[in-house]
Order: sequence, then structure tokens, then C-alpha cells
Amino acid sequence: MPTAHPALELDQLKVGDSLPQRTFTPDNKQLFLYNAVLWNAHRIHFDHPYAMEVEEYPGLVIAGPLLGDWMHQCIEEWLGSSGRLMSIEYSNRSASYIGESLSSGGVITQIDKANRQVTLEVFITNEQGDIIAPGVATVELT
Amino acid sequence: MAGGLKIDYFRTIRPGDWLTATRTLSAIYEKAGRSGALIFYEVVMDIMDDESRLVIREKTTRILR
Repeated sequence: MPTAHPALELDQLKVGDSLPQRTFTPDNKQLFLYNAVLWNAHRIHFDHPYAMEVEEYPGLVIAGPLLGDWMHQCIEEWLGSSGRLMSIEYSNRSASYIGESLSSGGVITQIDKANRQVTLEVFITNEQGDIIAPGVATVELT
Repeated sequence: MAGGLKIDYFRTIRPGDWLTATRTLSAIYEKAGRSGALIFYEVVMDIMDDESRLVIREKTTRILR
């Protein structure tokens, strides 16, 4: 819950500060429900034999937008009611599969005190620590 | 496949707001991938409020192989 977090003070933030990390291990039920909401019926997300045999993936592919939503969640949970997310941009660089554990996180890269804006690098990493989805976000503190 | 997203959040939305989304195919191009040619396409979605103010602009990049 965002309200459980202490308010962020602009003066206390430093370039290099990390956002709390969080690990996700999605299962096929979560993936199915997520893609149903997006009206995405691509069988690589729920049909294991199809994903393996027809599209030659090693497993069920975790939906790319889900990684972006975890980045949003990472930022929103850190920010709480101290400000608002102004923009976010990310790319899905490599695929990940059901069974993997992925982590979200971020780090402050720039602080614009005059405009009360903070730029963040955000990311999703796999178990090997590789960044499979890098992103950049800007938040404005109120 | 999902390639990435860029979202600008311009205004806060509140219960009772009427929002209208318009999606436009803004680019389509080919790139060489590890396993052959890939088609990229971009769709921009503008979400406006009932006073025609831009609330959210989202650019999605999707990949066909």
C-alpha cells in the first residue's frame, strides 16, 4: 500500500539511490489472466506444446507488457503519495519464460531540484542478473 | 511480440472523467534480427479528456517475425 511508505523528501534523495527491489515468479495462471485482460490470445502465452513446437520457444513466454507494469509498480510503491509518474519508456530486450524468477528495481540518475523532477533508470532482471527490460522514468515530487 | 512502450502521463484522471482514446499507426519498418527479418510497427494512442486536453500519450512498439 502506497500510504504505508514514508513520504519522500527531495532534499534527502541522492543520485545513485536504489528503489526497493521486488522478485516475481509468475505462473501460468497469472500469465493467462493477464493476457485475457489485454485480449491477447497469442498461444505462446498459454499453449505449451504450441509455444515449443510451432514457435520453438523453450517454454511459455512471459508477456512483455507485464514487465513494464512491474516497473510501474516498482516506481509507484516507492513514490507513494509523494508525487506522480510523468513518463516511462522501456524496451523488451530478451524473452523470459514461466518458471523463471524476475526482479524489478531502479536507481536515481538525475535530480532536478528546481522543477522537483527525478529521473530514474528502472529495470527487470532475470536470475542471472541480466537486464532483460531496461527503462527510464521521470517522476515529479509534489 | 511486445517491443516496448513509451508513456507520457500529462494529467491526473478522476472518477467521472470521460476519456477518448485514438490509436494511429505511426510507423512500420523492417530490421534484421538474429533469426531473420523482423517487422516493427509503432502505434500511438492519445487519450483526451472531455475538454480535448491530452491526458496520456502512449507509443507502443510491436514486433512481427
